[in-house]
Amino acid sequence: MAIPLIFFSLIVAGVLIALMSQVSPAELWASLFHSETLYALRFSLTTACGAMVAAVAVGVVSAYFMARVHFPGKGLLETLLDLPLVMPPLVTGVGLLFLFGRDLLGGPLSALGIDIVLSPWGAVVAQAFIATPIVIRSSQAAFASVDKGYEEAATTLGLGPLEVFYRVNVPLASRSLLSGIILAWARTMGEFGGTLMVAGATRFRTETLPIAVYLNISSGELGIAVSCAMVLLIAAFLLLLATRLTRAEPGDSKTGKGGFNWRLSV
Amino acid sequence: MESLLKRRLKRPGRALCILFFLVFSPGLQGSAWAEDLLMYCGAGLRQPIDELLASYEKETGTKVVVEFGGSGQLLARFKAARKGDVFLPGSHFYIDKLKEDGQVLFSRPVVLHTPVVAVNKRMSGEVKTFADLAKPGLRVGLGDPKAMALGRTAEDILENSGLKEEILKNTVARAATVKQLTLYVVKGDVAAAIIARADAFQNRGELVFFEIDPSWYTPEIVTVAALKTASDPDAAGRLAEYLGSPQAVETFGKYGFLRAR
Repeated sequence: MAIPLIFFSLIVAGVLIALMSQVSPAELWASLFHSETLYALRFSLTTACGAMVAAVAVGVVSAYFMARVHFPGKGLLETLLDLPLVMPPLVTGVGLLFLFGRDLLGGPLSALGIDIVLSPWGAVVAQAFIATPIVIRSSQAAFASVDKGYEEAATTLGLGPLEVFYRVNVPLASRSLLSGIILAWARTMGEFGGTLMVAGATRFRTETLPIAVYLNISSGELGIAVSCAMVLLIAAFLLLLATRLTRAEPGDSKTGKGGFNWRLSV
Repeated sequence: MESLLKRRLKRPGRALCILFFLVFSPGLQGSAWAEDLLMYCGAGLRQPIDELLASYEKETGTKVVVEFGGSGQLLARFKAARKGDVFLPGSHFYIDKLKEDGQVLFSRPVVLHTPVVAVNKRMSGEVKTFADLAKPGLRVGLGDPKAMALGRTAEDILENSGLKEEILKNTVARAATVKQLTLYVVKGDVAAAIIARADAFQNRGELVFFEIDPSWYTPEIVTVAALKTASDPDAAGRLAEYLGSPQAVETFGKYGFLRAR
């Protein structure tokens, strides 16, 4: 019974060991501080943060709207917003490349001085496009699980809809919201296909960690490829830890344990 | 209750298994038979090669599986995989590297891979000479020197032009293959790029191109080589001969490649 489990665990461990054993520890250590590795790390972090700011701003608000308002065609809209989640990122990237190309949005945008395709902003756009649906989906579930009684009470006590949003619903759903945001952040750190297509894979210009791995493996520079892969692994591990810490306990939003403590005295 | 569930799952379960094998067995069969040859080919040569290999299969019945890619990438791939029958990069530089490694049975030159400056039709007024590439604010595309044959050549050209700094400042894209770089120019994502004469020729409706001072680079010769790792050296040799034959050169010529003198 335990054999499939042992088998798979060994393969996972094997993957990690195979990665680490490609280059000598000395070479790996040197590669970790190579200018290209450091550039890729900085670029990955900045673009992921930029993308997350956009994703959270758009996603959380949209999710709140979707969770609270019912309108005809809502199901269709939900399916549309789910598309980027199931589309292969490469396909998303190709679509974005053409959408922001000269023939469509790219022309007018570049007249305003904004270049998306083949620029660092392209990486932010591609990552934001991938992250936003994740934020919407998880935030929608988070808001839906908040007992409506709290906002009804808040409304009768005189809070406007905006205040109800950020003083009642957001704090109550904060654990689940955060969990969804961390998931989306993990996804953007590993984003490859979309970034590759929209921003290109140009060393020291649009080089995220996954693109650095790709470029260096393709040109035979194992040291840098493996060190970037290790950085991504460490980031993944840290994100896993963070997800565990923010995992909501059942009934959290009802008793307000996740954040704001709001007790109703009936 | 449980046995009912088990029974309900058995039928679709069995169907799924059969479906699984039907879907994946063509993939299992797709792995090369003994007669199939594996060829690494520069992406810029795709169109003439597709044509040549189709007629080769008709004539000899030998199927050739091709891996297209940037020549530098293909070299890295070959070094890692250590298998393959024929190598056809965009430049003799990569064949020389293989020769140093002792991997070549024999090689022959095929056609020239000539770098030109291609400019998107809409911006053709702005870029008329090589020096125009240094115009501030112009979006220029180049090949990745580690991946693309003409990316390497572009480095020499830049060096010898004396405009390296300015043009690098304008460079917004480093492409892995010449086909991708051409797409950027055709779509207008870059205003101009150094691509192959053949690709410019094939897209002459969407772009204009002009020659580069030949003293700035050594001519790149598309060279075909039969590899030592070939499981059937004779078959590999025959394919390499065919790809270097005068009829093959004629086919290349149709697509805008110039003869190697």
